[in-house]
Parts: sequence; structure tokens; C-alpha cells
Amino acid sequence: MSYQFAWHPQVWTLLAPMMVTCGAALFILMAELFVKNVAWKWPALFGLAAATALVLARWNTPLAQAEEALWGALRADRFTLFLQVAILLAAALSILSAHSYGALSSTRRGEFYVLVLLATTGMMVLVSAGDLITMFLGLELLSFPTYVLCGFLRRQIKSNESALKYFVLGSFASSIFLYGVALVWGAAGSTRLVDIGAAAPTPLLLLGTLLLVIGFLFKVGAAPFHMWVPDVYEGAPTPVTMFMATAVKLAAFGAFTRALIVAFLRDSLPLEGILWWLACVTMIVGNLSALTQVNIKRLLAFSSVAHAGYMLLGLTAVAASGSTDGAAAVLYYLLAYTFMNIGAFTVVMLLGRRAEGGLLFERDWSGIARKHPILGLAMALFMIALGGLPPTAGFFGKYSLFRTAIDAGLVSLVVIAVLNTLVSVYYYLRVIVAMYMRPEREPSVPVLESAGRAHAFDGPGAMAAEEIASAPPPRLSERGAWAARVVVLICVIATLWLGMGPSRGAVPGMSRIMQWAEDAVASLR
Amino acid sequence: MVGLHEYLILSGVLFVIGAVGVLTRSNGLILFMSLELMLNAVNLTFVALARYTGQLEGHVFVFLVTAVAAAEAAIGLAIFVSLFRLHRSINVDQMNAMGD
Amino acid sequence: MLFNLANILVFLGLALGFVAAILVVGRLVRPRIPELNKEVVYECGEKPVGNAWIQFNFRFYLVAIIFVIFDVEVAFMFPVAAVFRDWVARGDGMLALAEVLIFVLILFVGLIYIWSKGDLKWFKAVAKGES
Repeated sequence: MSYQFAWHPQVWTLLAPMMVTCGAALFILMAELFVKNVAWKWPALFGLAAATALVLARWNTPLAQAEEALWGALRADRFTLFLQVAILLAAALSILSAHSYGALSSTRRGEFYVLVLLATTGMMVLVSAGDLITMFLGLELLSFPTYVLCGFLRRQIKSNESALKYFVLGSFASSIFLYGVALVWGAAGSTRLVDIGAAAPTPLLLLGTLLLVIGFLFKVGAAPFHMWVPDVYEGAPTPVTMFMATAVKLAAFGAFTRALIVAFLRDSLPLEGILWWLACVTMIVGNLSALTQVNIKRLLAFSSVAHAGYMLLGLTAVAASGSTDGAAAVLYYLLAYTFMNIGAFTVVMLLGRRAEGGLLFERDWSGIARKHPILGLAMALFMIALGGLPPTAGFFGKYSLFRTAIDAGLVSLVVIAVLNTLVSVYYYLRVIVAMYMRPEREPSVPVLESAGRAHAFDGPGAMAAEEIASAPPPRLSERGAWAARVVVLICVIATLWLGMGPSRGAVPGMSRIMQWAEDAVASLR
Repeated sequence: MVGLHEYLILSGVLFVIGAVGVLTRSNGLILFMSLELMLNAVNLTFVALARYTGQLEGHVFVFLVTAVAAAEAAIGLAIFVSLFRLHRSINVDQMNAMGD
Repeated sequence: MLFNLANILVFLGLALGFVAAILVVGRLVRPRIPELNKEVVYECGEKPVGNAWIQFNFRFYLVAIIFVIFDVEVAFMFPVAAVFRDWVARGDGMLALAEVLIFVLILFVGLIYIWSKGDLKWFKAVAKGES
């Protein structure tokens, strides 16, 4: 295949948002060298806002010629638009609440925003990619900054281990994905999703597709490829965890959905059966493992595995029925999940005052709702929403997922999912019970494990030994706590609105966002 | 006569060796080399298929993959160096600060 | 045949002459300060005698990281070089140039960054560690 180069002015419209986020990252990287003590979150947030405006500006502009000029490597459809806006929103909320995380705002603060912006660029590439190689590049551009973000607290052993584990398993998944790309390319003669969807099914193509699916499952953290999730989520700094749990999931699920609908769903491949079992195993493993967790971050990590299972249920419905309603429900659920999770992690950050010390919620959070009534109430709301009870976004999200699955004839799987939801309500309620119904405990200073285990390396060429030896526990700066409170407020409103909005009309009635999600899925080709 | 098949089998074997290495080895650097081996196996697949089908794309993909592998190497080494300062070891089996 | 062999001989002579000339010039120009360390076999600053399984100074790793990045990214120049003439012939020369320049500029941002962080200096770490 030979490409004729044909540049079209529309290409700028398509590329502009990614160029803005990438440009903002490079700007902060350079400016930080010359200007000290600047609140770098403002340029970062400004970059994200500008990118959002540029994405929204092409609301009614079909960019067919731009797609043509880029040989279909990037898609400018509604699907891209929906997910890019959601990703930019998640990134902005993460940055805002990171402002209240003492350890991040004290040292090397500019780099944090640079990395988040670069990862956001990668996510935007990933969700708009209409080509496997572009998808791979987006995936890597998303992953590399995230590996570094996990290890951002260099003096903490947990943060470093989290980075290592994410790096090893993330790279492993990327390699598997890439091998899938190679085989699919060899079999289909093209890496474009549309061409792959039309290619003749050979064993090579099927093998390649399976490898690609495994790569995606690793990235979204679905069982049996979820083993990295709890450790990585626990060890990473909380703002990074919320960024990973929401934005990365949005991007990976978005790309997976697009690849499934445009390319993979073919009669020759038993994907429906595979997805059925994956959804089932992921829900059960996630929920059962979450039951026994004592650390709130690990609990939320396993809960995110379980939620990946619910979303796989929606994709199974797509595979089973051929209608794309399931994918629209997945998009809606992703959005609801983003707000619930960012809200929950922000409260975790605010309540776990001594950052990584006070996260054993049954012990450390006992009766904490009396001391922090508003935060307690917000956390209770997020727990209820994650458990899928009305009147929250989680309820309507689960409702529409389960309904499309029943429409697709997956009754047994929906029964399993409902049972799982009931199990999950138990462990979410454990958090609420600990906060509201236990006696308030005397404050004690938790021993910071990492400080005891860290020791300076004093061989030749030791680097900044004193920097390692005395690792002060990262504390929440009271001065900056307003940002996190704003994030909590936004998430509370969004969680309630996404849950109440649709039910004002008839119950299956479409809120505007559900309509957008359906438009987005309908625009896939 | 060495044809496409042999190359595909070779790259598949290399990929599996790399994957097994990642899953079983405990030394960080060897684990890291296994990751690189996996990527290079993919490169071999790309080149073999590109030669076989006469498509130039495959060679371009190899460039992209090489650059990505280099970036990955840099980040991986940086993480190992950072971890080594705390642990004084890059043995992956000792990484157990988390969990219950 | 014989002519080809003569070529090689001339080349060999030139190479040997060049090496000899460099050595002679070096001997004439350099200062003579004999020291024990200078007699040691050169091994990139590591002691050549002893166990090979020693802990290497991890500055080596940092230098390797920096090297790998800039070394491999330049590989992207090759495809551009391969098609550059075609683009110029089609009148897209400036566009190609601009794209390459943007690429180099981004690499340059990285270079400035590590430079100003002091990671290009070998002795930064030692000086800081001794304090």
C-alpha cells in the first residue's frame, strides 16, 4: 500500500487538542527551569481547559478530510469526542486534588503536571486511534508517564515498588499487545481497524486478535490479568491512583470498545464466550477479594477490578446481540465511575491525613464522621454510588448495563452480576459503618513503614544520601485543602446528577448524557 | 530454504522465551532483558512479514518499536536505580512492602 | 587484481602512518607527570583487578539511560532522510523541514532539561554525597 501525502487544513483541528496538552507539558518543563515557586497547576489546568474547548469546538464539524489525510490513523467521531472530554475532565480533577497532597506540592512540583499532561496526551491519542500502530503509540505514551507517576514519591519504598510492578507488568502487556499487532498486520495486510474488520479470518488473524484482547485486559485490570492492580493502586500516591483508576480506565476501555466494535467482532472468533467468562470471573474475583481488605486503597482497587467486570458485561452484550446499546451503557458507566472514584479517592486523601499511614479504614477511620461530618457524608455517598444503590450515578449506570445485557439475552450473567452487586454492597457498607457507628478513637501517630526500612546508600557515588534517609511523612497541607474540597463537591454533584437526571422522565428516559453516549457509539465505523 | 514460516516460528519462540523469563526470573535486570527480548521478537516478526509481503510499512513499525523500547529501557533503568537506593537490591522477589 | 592489493597496501600504510604520527605528536606535546594510577589498565574508571561481580557506580546507568534516549530517537531521522528528496521535488520541502525541526526541538527540550538538572556532570553526585 502506498500512501499519497495530502495535507489538509482540517488536520490541525483534529490534532490541536493533543498539541495543546503536549505543548503545555513541554512549556512547564522548560519554564520550571527558569522560574521557581510557581503554582504550576494553573498552566496545566489552563492547558487542559484549552484542549477541552478545542475538542468541543468540533462538535458539529465532521472532519472526514482530516481523517483521510491521516489515512484513518486518528478518528474524529463523536466517540472520540465523548471520551476525550471525559479524560480531560478526569485529568483536571486529579490535578486539582493533587494540589492538596502535601508531598506533591512541596518538591519537584512541575514535573508532576508535566507527566499528567503527557499521559493525557497519550490517552487522547489512544481513544481516537483508528489504527493499531497509533493505538500502540497512544498506549505507550499513556503508560510511560504513569509508570513514573507511580514512583513519584522517590523516598517511599511503597511508591517505588508500585512503579516497578506497574512497569514490569505494563511493559509485559504492551509487548503482548504489540505481538498481536504484528500478527494481525501480517494476516490482514493492514493495521487499520476497518481493514481488519473486513479481512478474511485466518488462524494468524485470530491468534493476533486474542493477543490484542489480552493486552487490553491487562490495561483495564480485568481478571485473570488483574494481579498488579491492588499493589500498584496501594503504593502509588493517592492523586496518581485516582488518575490511574479513572483516566487510564476511560482510555483503555474506550480503545477496547472501539477495537471490538470496528474490528474484532466477527463470527469466526468466539469472542462472545470469552467475554462472558471474563466478565463473570472479573466480577467474582474483584468482589470476593475486596471483602477481606482492610486498607481502603486496596479495597477501592479490587472494587475497580469488579467494576471492570461490570463494564465487560456491557461489552459481552454487544458481542452477543450485535447492537451497540451495550457500548453506550459502558460509556455512561465509565463517566459515572470516573466521578464516583475521583470523589472517593479524594476523600481518602483528605481523611488519610498522614498520607499513606492512616488508610486502614476500620481502625483509623473509626467514628471519623463525627469529626468530619461533610467528608463523611460525601464518602458515604460515593460508597453508596459504587455499590450501585439509588439515587446515584452508580445505580443508573448499573441499571442500563444490566438492561442492555438482558435485552441481549444474557440472563444468567446478569443474575451473577446482581448477586455480585449485593456482595459489593456489604464491603462498601463496612466503610460507612466504620465511619459512623464505631466509637471515635484516640489519635495515634502511625508508624511510617517506609521511613524505617529506607536506608541511605553510602557507596561511591551515593546520590543525595540525606534526601533518602529522612523521609518525612507526606502531610496534607491545610492551606491547599480547598482544591480537594472543590473536587469532592464537583464529584458529589455529578454523582447525584448523573443518577437523578435520567429518572426525571420515564425510567428508561434518556438524559442528555445517555443520548451523547449513544451518539458516540453510533458514530463508530 | 528458510522462508517466512521459519522466521515466524523463531520469533514466536523468542517471544515465549522472553515471556517465560519475565514471569519466572527474579533478578530485575534479567527480567528487563526478557522484556526487551519480547519486543525484539516482535521486531523480527515485523521485518519477516514486511520482506514477505513487500510492504514497506513493516520496516517503519520496527523504527517505532525500537524507539519505544529505548524509552521503556530508560524508564525501567531509572525505576531500578531509584529502587536500588532504597532496597540495595533489585531482586523482584523481595518487593513485598504492600499487602496485608 | 594486483591493483586492488596495492590499494589495500596504500590504505594500510596511511593508517599505520597516521597512528604513528599521532603518537609522536602526543609525546612531543603532552606534559609528563608520571603517577601510579596512570599505569593501571584502562577500564572506564573501575578497578581492573578483582571480582567482576562488583557493584558498578550507578552513574553508569544514568549515563546509559541518557545515551539510549538520544541515540535511538535519532533513528527517526533515517526514514525522513530516505524520502526527503521526494518531498522537496513535490514542493513539500519546507513542511518536511519544519516537521524535522519540531522533532529535534522536542529532543532539545529534553537535553536542556537534563543539562540544567546537572545530570550531564559526572561529579554532581559525589560532591553532594560527601556533604
